[in-house]
Amino acid sequence: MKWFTHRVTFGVDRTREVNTLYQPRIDSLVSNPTFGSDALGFISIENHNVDYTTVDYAATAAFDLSPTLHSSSSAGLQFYHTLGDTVYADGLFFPAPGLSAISATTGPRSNSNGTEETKSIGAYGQEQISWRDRLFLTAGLRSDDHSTFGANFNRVYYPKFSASWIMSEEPFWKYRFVNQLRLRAAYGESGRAPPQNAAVRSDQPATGPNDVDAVTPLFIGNPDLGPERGKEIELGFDAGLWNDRAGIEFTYYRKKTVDEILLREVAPSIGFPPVPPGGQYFNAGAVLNKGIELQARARPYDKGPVSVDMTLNLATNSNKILSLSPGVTFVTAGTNLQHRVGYPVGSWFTKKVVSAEFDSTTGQAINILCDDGKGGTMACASAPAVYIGRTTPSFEGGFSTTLTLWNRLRLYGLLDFKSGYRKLDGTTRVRCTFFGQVCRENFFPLEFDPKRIAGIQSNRSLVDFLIADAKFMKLREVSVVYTLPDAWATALRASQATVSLAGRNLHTWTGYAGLDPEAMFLGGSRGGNFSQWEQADLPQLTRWIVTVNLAF
Amino acid sequence: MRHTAMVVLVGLVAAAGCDLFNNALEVQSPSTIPAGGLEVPANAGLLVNGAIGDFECAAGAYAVMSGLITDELIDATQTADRYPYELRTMLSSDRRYAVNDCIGLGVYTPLQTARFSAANILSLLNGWTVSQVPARDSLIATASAYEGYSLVLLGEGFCTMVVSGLDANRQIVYGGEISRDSVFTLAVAAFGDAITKGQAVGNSEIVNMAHVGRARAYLDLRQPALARADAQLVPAAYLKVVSASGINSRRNNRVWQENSATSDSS
Repeated sequence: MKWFTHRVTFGVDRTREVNTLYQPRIDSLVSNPTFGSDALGFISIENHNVDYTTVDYAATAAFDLSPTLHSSSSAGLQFYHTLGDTVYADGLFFPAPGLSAISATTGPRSNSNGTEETKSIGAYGQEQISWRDRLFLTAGLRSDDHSTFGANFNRVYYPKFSASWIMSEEPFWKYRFVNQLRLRAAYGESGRAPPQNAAVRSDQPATGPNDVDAVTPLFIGNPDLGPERGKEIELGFDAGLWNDRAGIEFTYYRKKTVDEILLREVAPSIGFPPVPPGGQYFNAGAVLNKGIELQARARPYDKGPVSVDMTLNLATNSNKILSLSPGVTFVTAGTNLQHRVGYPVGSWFTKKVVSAEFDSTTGQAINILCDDGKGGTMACASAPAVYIGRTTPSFEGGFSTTLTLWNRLRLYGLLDFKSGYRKLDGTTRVRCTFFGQVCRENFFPLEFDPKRIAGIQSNRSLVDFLIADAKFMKLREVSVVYTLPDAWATALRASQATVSLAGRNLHTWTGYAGLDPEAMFLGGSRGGNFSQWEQADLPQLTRWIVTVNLAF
Repeated sequence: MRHTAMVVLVGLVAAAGCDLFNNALEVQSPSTIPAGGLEVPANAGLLVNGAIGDFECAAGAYAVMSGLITDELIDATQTADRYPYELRTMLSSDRRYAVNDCIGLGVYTPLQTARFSAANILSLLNGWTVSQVPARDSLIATASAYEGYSLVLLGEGFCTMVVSGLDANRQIVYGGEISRDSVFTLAVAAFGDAITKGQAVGNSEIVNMAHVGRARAYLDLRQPALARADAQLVPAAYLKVVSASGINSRRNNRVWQENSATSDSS
């Protein structure tokens, strides 16, 4: 039955991660107040295990409806199961040098354990009709149910339609230098399930008075929480030029997400933790994303033993919240962050200093005026928080070149960039406004822009000077790969042997004044999805990698 | 054969529309407790213990941060966001002041958590019967007393505040901004409930605790005569201690924990 095919995929992916933070006891530093109790040593160990189980079944019935029409009917089922487990333990103070076990610590110890489990089941049906293998029409319907859907929400259905036309296959096509041109258009709906336990009001175990069993509020939940639904239109084309010596793939997308899942702080007066691990997920009204994606590739030189390949990728994104809950124009998304109607998701909002002057005698910033949100200025004390910028890039891309010599030596370089977003320079924040205020600006304010000094002297009430343009370009990789002579590979009983040297993150061009435009808090109240908050965080390091690859 | 195949395909799609797979979506959540399964009469004591635990943790954080502000304590740690408390330059937007939990030395949120936990179990206890919860009245007295103390500290620590909670359908109801005198009035009412129920069940410990609390609330309301009357009902030797221990960080004595890392945290 060649016309009726089945495919079953079953798999378990397992990841195991161990993170250890160890500070040995250093007796020579114990009496030095600079190091405090850290000199006594500490250790923390975190084991993080995740199992992903996938079951995927698809059946396709394909047959010809006529000499020119072909039908392909498909249906399938998918089951996804994710089970994550984290165990953490730490201990402080080793009584003697050389100890490194948690059980060897004599100070406070703590431990925690968490399990996260999600499941989803989906089914779909799809019909594709093709005409002369050059025009393809597809329609489908998908249904998903997820363990994280709220109690007041059930399964969800997603339709899709698409069409593609290989125009260059038509008899009327005369542009021979375009060896292939495919036009495509698609409409599809897709969804994203809420995070685990996001819908359910829940407590967590705690220790009560005199160490008895107790509970404490954890998550306020949202029983109306459902999946977000994206409705996307894509228009584009794929072109091959000069026998595929060059090619262009272009896509315009416009995706309207309704019921987008966002996290908001809840008012502390409700008693539940207002910020992660608390807060409340909710379905926002609608968010519009649109932009283009372009990939252009070319082989401008290919002669004898030398060839050069180039690839350019560009992507733009325009993002705007169209609506939130009825009657709500914004919600707080974090420190200086808002989801606000008319602006990108998770934008920076804070008071913006427009002008300031110096008292040349005292070095104090005076006559400080802020943006009033209406195009004018006003005293900063009562000024509103105004839009400062995006937290996610609006324009990004990369450019790579590969030079191949004698089919054995390959030189590769990659530049990439991001722009159109801002990051909070937390390192400057703590240096200039905490920790004894040790910036040069604190001692020689007259050397600087009075607007910046106004922020530094504001007792952290004016922070717009810290939210800086973070655009950058990086020399992401330079590598050389050499395919060893066949005789060498044969001597190693391999079919092919290569050796490579690669340098990553070699140079950054940026005007960002913080440590690195890509460094950021990954968790906690400063981290998360879009909190571009950087404070002495380790950036991506320059790395040199030597690889020997043997194929058998 | 083609008909059979099509029937199989249609059947697969139709399966998505029924509840065939609902049971397959059940997941374990061993570190959290859904409120629906927790808020039952059998857990009344556990929930009251939770309210007490929330207050004790909040009181510890409140003691440390108010101590820093009043120079009763000097911070021995190197944590930057505590500097504004010693310098008395903190802002309402400072996260430690506004949203941190009690372990993180928050001020407003931990007290609100304690108030909510007490108010929540009180609303549940008032809906349950003595046959369901034999110690119901004693538990009401206890929860009312701790709710009163949470309100007193909120009123003393903040110029205004908001009281939010859950309605009969367990849906969130946000309150409006109220003055500190209104907060103290709520505290007086909570202590009154504690005294009434405590006297009814002969729980002198709670009655004394509530009399002291109500006297303090009356003082805050500038009603010294009523405060004196309540205080005179309390034995001179009466002492109530907020408990702490070294069993975990939530139970630690915050003053010791924050100022001497190598000392006994209990």
